[in-house]
Amino acid sequence: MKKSTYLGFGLGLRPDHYETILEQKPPLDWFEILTENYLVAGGKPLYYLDRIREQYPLVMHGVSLSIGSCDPIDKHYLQEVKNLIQRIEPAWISDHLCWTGINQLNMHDLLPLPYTMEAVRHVVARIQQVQDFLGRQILIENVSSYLTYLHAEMEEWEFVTEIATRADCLILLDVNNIYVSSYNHAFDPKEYLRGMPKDRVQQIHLAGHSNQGHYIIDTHDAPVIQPVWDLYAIALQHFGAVSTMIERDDNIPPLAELLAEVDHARAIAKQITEVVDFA
Amino acid sequence: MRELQGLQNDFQNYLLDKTTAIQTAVVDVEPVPAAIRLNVYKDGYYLRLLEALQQDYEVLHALLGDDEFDQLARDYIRAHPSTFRSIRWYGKELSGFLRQKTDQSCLIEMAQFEWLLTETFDAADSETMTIEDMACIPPKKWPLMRFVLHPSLRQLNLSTNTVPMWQSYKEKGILPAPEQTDAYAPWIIWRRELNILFCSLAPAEHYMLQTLLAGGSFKMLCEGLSEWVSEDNIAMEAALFLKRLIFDQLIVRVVYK
Repeated sequence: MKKSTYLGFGLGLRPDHYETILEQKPPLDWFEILTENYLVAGGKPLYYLDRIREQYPLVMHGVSLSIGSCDPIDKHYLQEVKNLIQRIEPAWISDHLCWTGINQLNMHDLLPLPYTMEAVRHVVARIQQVQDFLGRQILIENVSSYLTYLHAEMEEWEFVTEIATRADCLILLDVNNIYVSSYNHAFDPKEYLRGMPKDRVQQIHLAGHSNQGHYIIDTHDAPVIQPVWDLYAIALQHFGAVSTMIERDDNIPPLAELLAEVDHARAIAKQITEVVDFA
Repeated sequence: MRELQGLQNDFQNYLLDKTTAIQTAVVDVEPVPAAIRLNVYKDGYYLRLLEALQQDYEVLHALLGDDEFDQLARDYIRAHPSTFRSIRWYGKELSGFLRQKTDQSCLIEMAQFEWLLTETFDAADSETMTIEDMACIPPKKWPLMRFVLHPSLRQLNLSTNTVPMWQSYKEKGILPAPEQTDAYAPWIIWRRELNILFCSLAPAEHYMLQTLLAGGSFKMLCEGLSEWVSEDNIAMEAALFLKRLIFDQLIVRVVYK
C-alpha cells in the first residue's frame, strides 16, 4: 500500500472554464479531468488539456471502467487510458466502484453492486488486472446509490474496505455520496467514515445534489450543502489531510463561484489542522 | 459470479424496459418503494441519453419541436442501446435512424450536418503545409504530387437550406423555413486550428477535391478539369485550388508514388 503525494485543493476541470483558467491562472493546486472527455483524437479537448497541464498537476477520473461488470475488462479502453496517462502524467487515476453495463452495452450510469463476498472477489480480481495492466495503483470511488439489494451480506463501508484492502488499491472518498446514500438508506454517515481504512483514502470529492424529499439524487449541479461540509470536517478529523476537490458536472457556474467553494474547503481544513496534528 | 451476472442482466433489462425481474432483488420499504428506487435509475438512463442527443442535435431539436424530438429520442433510445464507452458518441446513428422514419430531407440533412460538426470538433490534429512548403517543390515534380488531406475533413451533399438554417438559429435564435433546392450541393466541413469551418463547393472544386481524396495526382486533377475550364486556364485554376486548400490548412503533406 502506497499513497501518493498530498496535492492540496483542486477542482474538476470543465470546458466552460478552459479560457478563464488559462487567462487568470486561479490559485488552485490541481485539477481533476474526466478521462473519457480526452480519449479523443484531437481538437479543443486535447489542446486545452495540454495547455492546462503545463500550469497545473492533473489527476484522471474515469466513468467507463465498469470495474464491477461481469463483462470482460475492455483492454482497448485500458490502452487508451494508458496512452492518456503517458501524455499528461497524472498524479493518480480513479474510477468508480460500480458497474455501468453488461453484454457489451453501456447504461452510462454508475450502477450499484451488491455488497456480497461474490462481488468482492469479482471486483478485487478485476482491480488487480487493471493495476497490473497500467502498472500502478488506482483509486476507487464510492458511488451514491438509491437502492439496497435484498441479499446484501455487509454494509457499504465494509464492502469498500474489503475490496480496497484485498486489491491493494486506494480510495477516492466522495463525502457527498456518503451523505446521499446515508439519507437514501438511513445509515449513520459517521459510521461510514469510521469504517474506512484511513491509510488508503487518497482523495476527497465534494459536490451538491438534489433533494427529492424522501430521497436524494446525486446530480452534481448545485453548491455543496452545509451537512456535507460538516461531514467533510469530520472526515478530515478522522483521516488527516486529504487532497480535496469540488466536483460540478451540471449547471456549471462561473469559475469564481467554484473557487469560493474550494476556498471554503481550504478554510475548513485549516481550522482542523489547527487542532489536529496530522503528522 | 453467476448470481452477480444474473442480477446485472435483470437490472439492465429493467433499464431497457424489457423485464421487471430485478424488483424482487431490491429492498422494498416505505416511504420509497423498490419501484421508485429502480425508476431513479431508469429515468436517469433515458434522461442522460436524451440530454446527449439534445446537445448534439440542437437545431434538429428546434426544427422538430420538443414533443417530436422527444418522441424521436425515445424511439432511438429504445432501438439503439448504447455500445459506446463515452456518451459523446451515442448520437452517431441518429441521421440513419431518422432516414427510416421520415423522407423530409431538411430533417435528415440537419442531423447529418450537426453530427459531422461533432466529428470535426475532436478529429485528429495534424500539421499542415504552407505556401512556402509548396514553393520548395520543383516544377518538374508537380505532375506527380498527390496529397494527404486533413483528418478533420468531412463531406456531405445538401439539397435544402440546412447551413443557412443552422447559422441563423445559432447566431440569432431564428429558424428560417426549410427550403428544397433543385439539386444536391456538395459541402465540406473541417477544422482550421481549433475553428470549425464549412463551405459549399462549385462543381469543378468538387471534382478536384474528389480526385485528391481518391489519391489522384496533380496531373490527373488537371486532365479532368477540362470539363469545366478552358485548356489555357487549367493549370492556373488547379494551382489556385491548391493555394486555397493550403490557406484553409487542408493539405497535410505531398506524397509521390
